[in-house]
Amino acid sequence: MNDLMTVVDWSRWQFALTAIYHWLFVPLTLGLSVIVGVMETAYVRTGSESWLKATKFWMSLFGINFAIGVATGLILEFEFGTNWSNYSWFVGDIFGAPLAIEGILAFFMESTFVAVMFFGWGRVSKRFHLASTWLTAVGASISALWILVANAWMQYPVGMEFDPAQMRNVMDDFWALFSGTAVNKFFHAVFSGWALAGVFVVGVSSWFLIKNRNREFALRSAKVGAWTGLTGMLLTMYTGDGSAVEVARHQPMKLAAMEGLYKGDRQQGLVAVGLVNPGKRWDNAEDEYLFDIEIPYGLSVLAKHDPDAFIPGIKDIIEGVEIDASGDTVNTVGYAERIAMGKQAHEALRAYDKAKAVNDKSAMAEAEKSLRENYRFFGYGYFDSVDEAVPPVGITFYSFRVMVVLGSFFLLLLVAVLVGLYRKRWFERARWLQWIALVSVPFMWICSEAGWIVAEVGRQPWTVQDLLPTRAAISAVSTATVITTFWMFAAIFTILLVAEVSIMFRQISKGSKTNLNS
Amino acid sequence: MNEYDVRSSESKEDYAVEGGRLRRFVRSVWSLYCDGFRNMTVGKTLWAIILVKLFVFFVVMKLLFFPNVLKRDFDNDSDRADHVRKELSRPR
Repeated sequence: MNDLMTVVDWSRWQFALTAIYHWLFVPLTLGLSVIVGVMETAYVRTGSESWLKATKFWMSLFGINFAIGVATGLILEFEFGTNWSNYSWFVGDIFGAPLAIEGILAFFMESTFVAVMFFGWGRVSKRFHLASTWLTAVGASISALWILVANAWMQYPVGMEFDPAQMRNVMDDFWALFSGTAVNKFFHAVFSGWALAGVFVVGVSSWFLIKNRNREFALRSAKVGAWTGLTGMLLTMYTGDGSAVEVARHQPMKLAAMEGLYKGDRQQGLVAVGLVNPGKRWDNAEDEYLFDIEIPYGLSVLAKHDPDAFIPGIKDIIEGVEIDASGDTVNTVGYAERIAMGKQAHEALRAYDKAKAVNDKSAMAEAEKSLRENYRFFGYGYFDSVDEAVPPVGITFYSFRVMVVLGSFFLLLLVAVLVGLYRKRWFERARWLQWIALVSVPFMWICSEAGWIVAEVGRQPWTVQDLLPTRAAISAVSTATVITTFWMFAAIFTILLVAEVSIMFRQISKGSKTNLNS
Repeated sequence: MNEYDVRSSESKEDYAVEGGRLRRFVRSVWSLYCDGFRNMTVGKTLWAIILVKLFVFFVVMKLLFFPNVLKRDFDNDSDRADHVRKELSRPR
């Protein structure tokens, strides 16, 4: 068991490392492509040389990010095949189909339109070039769509039926993959990319102002960046609200972990600031928080859009307790019962396997029937104790707050920058605000990554919600191999990151010394 | 010249025109990429990074460290399914 858990843990660390590095590049690609599109549209409409220079400058930064980031996501697919082969087989075409579409679309759209975007100046018409720029932005978002559809399916598996003969989930309704979870997740991720790129553009523009270089260019860029960032941030918050409702509906345990909530209630408050008690477990009487400041009704409103709604805590979910709209306690399927049903499903699968070996059709049919009856809790069969089905509360709780607090800070920052840009252009003189905007840029990445940590750590121990925990999804690989490749990836990605940052700094510095104003 | 011959010669001309257009299109796409690569400044460094990265990912990492375990160890899907069934239903 210890060896198994070591492989699982290292494989999870490796996947987390790869995904976190990959996500350093993706949101900037998603957002900067839109900002470049807006600037080029302004150029095509006005014919102004200033907009053309601005477009080309930001396009060069987009190109650097795109080039360094491209293919970093492929590593995740390598890991599926090697470290997570049980998972890869089990999810079947449901995961494979969106990823295949993503690969084909990304390849054709990006290789075609990115080439026109960079090489097509003066060779194709202005409008065709503009269309290519926008299609690059659309292509990047479409790529994200398929990845996020696949990810959402792992959080809320729908549109499939399990086939024990093929030992995989077979898609029976393609459109079901576009669930509320998937739609919210897609827009939340894409709009957060707009917000991130907006903050990046405002930060770099602020550096130009601090250095007193290309001031007109910097102010023009800051305006586009701040508007895109603000739009992105507001839409991120709106879709984040939608995501919270989906989580409450389909992953109540994740919501409870996000809140560090063990015993839920109606009119449940939301902890604005707090410290979770590390000694708290679902079955002891310790306090949930060492200290907390609560917003009354907050969690009920956030999760169910109803101030009176009951929000279950970890203990309630484990014990299968709900309170309905009329205030009566009702029982749901508790975790002990889920574990029992999961073990029955496993037993049925073993019986199916034995029957298949001797080609006993009636025994196979009987085993399959029992499997179907218990399949919705298949994954719980891997647990011996309900404790194993509780996600890490501390990291989920704090990551959620880091995301929300930083997100709120950036909303205020972008509003302040916009006000400063339009009211007597005081942003131009407000050195303190320019410094804040510049220093804040890395924190936008922390905010964005924190969101992913909430989504992915909060759903533990599952790779596929309720069906496949990480410990069952793993392949029979050696710990030493996983540790070796973990450090290799850490080294490669760090080199890539250093390369990106240094090339980008050089390009920004070089750009600042040329005339970008007109 | 009958009606068939007229149609036939028209369609030959159409093909010739279409072929010419296609050739011009392919040539212009080719030169777009060639000239684009030739005139790159910072892009040359980036392409070098991309190529080294792809080599490391696909040749070093994929071939040496990241085999597809099920494809490597089993010949057909039925055997893979049997293996995964045993793995996932194994008492733990």
